[in-house]
Amino acid sequence: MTKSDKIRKVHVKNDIFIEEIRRMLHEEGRKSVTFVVRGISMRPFLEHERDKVILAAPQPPAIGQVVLAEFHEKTYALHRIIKIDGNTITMRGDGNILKQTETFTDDKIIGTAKAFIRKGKYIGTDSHKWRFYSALWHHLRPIRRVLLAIDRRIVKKLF
Amino acid sequence: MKTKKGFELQNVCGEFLIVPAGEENVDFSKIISLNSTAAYLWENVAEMESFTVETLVELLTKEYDVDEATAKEDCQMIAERWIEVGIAE
Repeated sequence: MTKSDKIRKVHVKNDIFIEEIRRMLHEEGRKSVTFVVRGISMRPFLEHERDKVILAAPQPPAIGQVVLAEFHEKTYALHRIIKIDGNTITMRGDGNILKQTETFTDDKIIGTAKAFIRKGKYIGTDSHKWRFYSALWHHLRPIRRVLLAIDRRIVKKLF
Repeated sequence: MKTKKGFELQNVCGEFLIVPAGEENVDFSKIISLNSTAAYLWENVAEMESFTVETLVELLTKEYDVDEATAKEDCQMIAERWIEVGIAE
């Protein structure tokens, strides 16, 4: 225990960490779990290791919801639901190309995002800001690739 | 001193982590990592109404092969760190 051990990032392997989250939400009955997001697939809204998500136990799936799901064995992603067909769910990262989707059954949902902490600010999924962003991103679909590619900084400034 | 309410010691993948955890939310974005010795001490004092550096020294010398002077020095340091990082008061 020295003074030098001030802040250290603890990286736990995804499958172990996410199983821990699943256990807390599904078995221990915790209301929510907060963690830092990793990866860039939810750009421009969520940025790798900058933003956080507050994940609640699974809610009835709805299009536009952001969920954490195990879409293959021990392979997980926090993406947005784009299609529901019975109990088959399809999701996609906002920052991913249109055909890059993940499909799984609804029992594979680990949790539903109820809020985000973006650049230190709390944004609930029931807020106007989140709804506006979601609608805008949806309608920008045809030019998303251009937006994501041209200049990420511009998009980031907008939101 | 005493440990602050709202923190839980979790063992995730061999790491001892102090995680802010209330009835509502468990926050993995603000965790404090402890080594196994510190985790042992924390576990034993967490439920106490209050404890002193001497309590820690007693616990440490009971479980670990360490002389009292060294134990005292280490326990003083760890108690200060706990207060500094805000998990004890």
